[in-house]
Amino acid sequence: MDSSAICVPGHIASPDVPIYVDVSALEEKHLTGMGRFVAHLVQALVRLTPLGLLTTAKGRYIPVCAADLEESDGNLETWARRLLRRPRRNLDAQSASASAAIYTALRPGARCFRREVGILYDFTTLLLPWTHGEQSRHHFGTFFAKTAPLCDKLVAISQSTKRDAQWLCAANNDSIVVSYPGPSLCVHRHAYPNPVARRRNVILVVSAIEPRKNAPFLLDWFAATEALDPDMELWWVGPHAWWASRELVTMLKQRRSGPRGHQIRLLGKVSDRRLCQLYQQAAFTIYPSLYEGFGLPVLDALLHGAPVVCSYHSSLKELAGPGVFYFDPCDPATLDEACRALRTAQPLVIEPSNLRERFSWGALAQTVKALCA
Amino acid sequence: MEPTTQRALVVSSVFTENEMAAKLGREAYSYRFVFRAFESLLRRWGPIFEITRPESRLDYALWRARQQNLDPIHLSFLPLQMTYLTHGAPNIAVPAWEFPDIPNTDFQNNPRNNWRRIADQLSVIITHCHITRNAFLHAGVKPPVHLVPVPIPPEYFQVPPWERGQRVVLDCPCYVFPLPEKTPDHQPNPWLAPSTSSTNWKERARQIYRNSVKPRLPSGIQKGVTFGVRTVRALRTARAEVVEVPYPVTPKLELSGVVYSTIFNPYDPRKNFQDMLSAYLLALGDCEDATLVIKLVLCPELAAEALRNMIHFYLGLGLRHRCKLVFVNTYLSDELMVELARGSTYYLNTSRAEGSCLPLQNYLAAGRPGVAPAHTGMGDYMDDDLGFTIACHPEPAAWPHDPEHRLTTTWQRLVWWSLHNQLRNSYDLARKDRNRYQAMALRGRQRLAEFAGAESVWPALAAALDAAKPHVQNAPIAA
Repeated sequence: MDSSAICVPGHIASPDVPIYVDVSALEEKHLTGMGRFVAHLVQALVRLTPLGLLTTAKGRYIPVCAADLEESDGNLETWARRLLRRPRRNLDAQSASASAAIYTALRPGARCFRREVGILYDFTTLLLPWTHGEQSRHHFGTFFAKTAPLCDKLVAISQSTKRDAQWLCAANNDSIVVSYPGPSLCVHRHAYPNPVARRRNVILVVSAIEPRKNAPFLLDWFAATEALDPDMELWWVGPHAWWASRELVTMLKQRRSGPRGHQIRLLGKVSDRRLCQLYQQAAFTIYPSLYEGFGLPVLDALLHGAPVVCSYHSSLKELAGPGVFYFDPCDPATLDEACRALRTAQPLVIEPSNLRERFSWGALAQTVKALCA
Repeated sequence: MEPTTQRALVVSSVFTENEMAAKLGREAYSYRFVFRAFESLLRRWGPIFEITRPESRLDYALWRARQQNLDPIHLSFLPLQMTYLTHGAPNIAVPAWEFPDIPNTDFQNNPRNNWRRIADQLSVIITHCHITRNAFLHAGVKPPVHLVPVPIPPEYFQVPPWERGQRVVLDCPCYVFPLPEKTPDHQPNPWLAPSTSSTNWKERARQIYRNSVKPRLPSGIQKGVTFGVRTVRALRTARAEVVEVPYPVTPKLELSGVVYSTIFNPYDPRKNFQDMLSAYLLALGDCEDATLVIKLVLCPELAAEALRNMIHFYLGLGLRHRCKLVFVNTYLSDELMVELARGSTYYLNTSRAEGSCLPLQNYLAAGRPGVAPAHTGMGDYMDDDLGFTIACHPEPAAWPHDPEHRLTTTWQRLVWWSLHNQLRNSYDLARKDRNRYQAMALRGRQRLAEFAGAESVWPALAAALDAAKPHVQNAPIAA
């Protein structure tokens, strides 16, 4: 945790006044990275303080406290849907002006609460604009250039994001605190509790099929590489992002019909339980992303004992450690090298306790709560 | 004892050498030419690792360089709005800029468009001419701003002097105007019915459909047939417009007489080809031995349409002329480009603003005087000693990457009459006063050798690269 994450002296919030949290990301039909982040943050925060959950239903909020919520290691989407069905109350201006709020995505153009904390995930809308739709670029552009400075504090989910903020965000860099998230599944226990045998010939990829995740590169590499045994299979878990272009999807289908096409399985979206099982089955995972704010699938894989071969840039560098092998996401020869290095390093021991200590929702929640004081 | 480390460069470039032909005319393509010009000198400084897509690849390249016991610096040959700032090494940017001020707002809500903000994060800024350097200094940027002209390839200095009466033939297809006058087609007597023997089968089928079939079809089917035919015709026309230039191709480019060459991207609004064409055709229209060669710098996907548009504009001027106008829109190798210089008498530039104008530098180095304004980047080396300067004055302009085209800066408007007269003067000099022409050409070679010869540039380049602060791992980043 960044050493500048200290409590702000002065106001001490009443224990009965909730911290408001923008959970509009939970309203998406399928929870993406940001949605899962918000869900886990809420689960961790509610253990520390009552919360008022803000959605797109203006003027209303969902009050929750620790006793109200069960854990969600089985199915986060089901948990989120139940959460949003909880009764709502009216939000009045007086209550808001006395309270703190956490904006987990964008934020309004004016201040509404006594203290406002924002989350900075990544700057890919500016760094890789071609991987985002025009609306995202517009909204996040406004946030980075204009409204982020309205937050009293901002929490960057990696050192890389904080460094990027220095030149890409109008907010004062001194107001940005780094605090890492925890894993996106199996936070407290494995969703798939039964023993699973690891399969020597399965490579797992977990990411949405969108341009930033670099699917064509990986599939081209898999079709041509001689660094893998001939019976290796590539299993891709992840939905098509809603704005993934038709051309991208067509290209993926064409690559599947290549010489190793039958060994590529596009599994689509799977449950947390199934994903937990897959992580425990896979020989290793590959994460060829072109840029990241954190890289949750890398952490998830390591916590399931699966080595990771991933791109070397942005926040992914901060996950360096036993079981992580790096490559250039635009150079297939370096991916070959990384795979060979992984094979040479076997047997690998990945110690999850170190990772859980470094990457913890509880620690993030503590940081955020302190910043709201 | 720790092994000594050797310095190295990791270069961000807009595209690779292999992609050159396919990416000409695309965004920031000219930066590739600048990098190529510097490459041999950069290798003198240290090993080079070149990458594209720096956001995704730069840190890996730095990491691998360090694994080889090298101490790398990041050198970005990209416009500042496309430059990626790594925290893994000092960042040096080499921006090309031809306006008196740099963008200092986050226009379009994009901090990357704010050159002032980006510049302040750099270790060193390398510019190629005084206007660019002054623009950064005027903005009050923090890092040192070095002036390092773009070095001229040595082969241009080896080009033999131009001689009246010389003839150079380039093996490259081109479009030459004016086209030969067509003899009028034989016109049939409009009062007589067309003979069926002279009607082709398509026309015959149309007549049968119109006269015998269409009147018997239900109206819905009639409309469907009409719609289908028009759609197919439109698709065919669209395809033809995309890939064809409907003018005859001359297989080889023959250069003789007084030859003006110019090289540019016609989609670049700075280049002002409209004034160039009208002035050339009116100044030298009666000169059969004058030729203007316009070499378009565009990738194949864009070249055909651009050429059609330019020719359409030229024909729309309605100017009859005996001087030759030649368009070349195919990719020419470096060797052919040097040959083009050899076959030329002058280099013609009518731009509103230039960062350096590498072709003008190259031609001056080749002993080919310029007909060009002496503003912006060209003002560092061009004057009446080296050619025929065109008068100009400032007018409002927009920053090139501002999609709203707000008038936030200035560029130069050429005085058309000055352009016209200088073309005429240059033509007369080449034809009538060999000694003065050769003296002018020699001064150009000498001046450009001093300004942008490799050995002149090297000390400034080395000093700029040496000025990058050494990287200290995990040092706090200055706000």
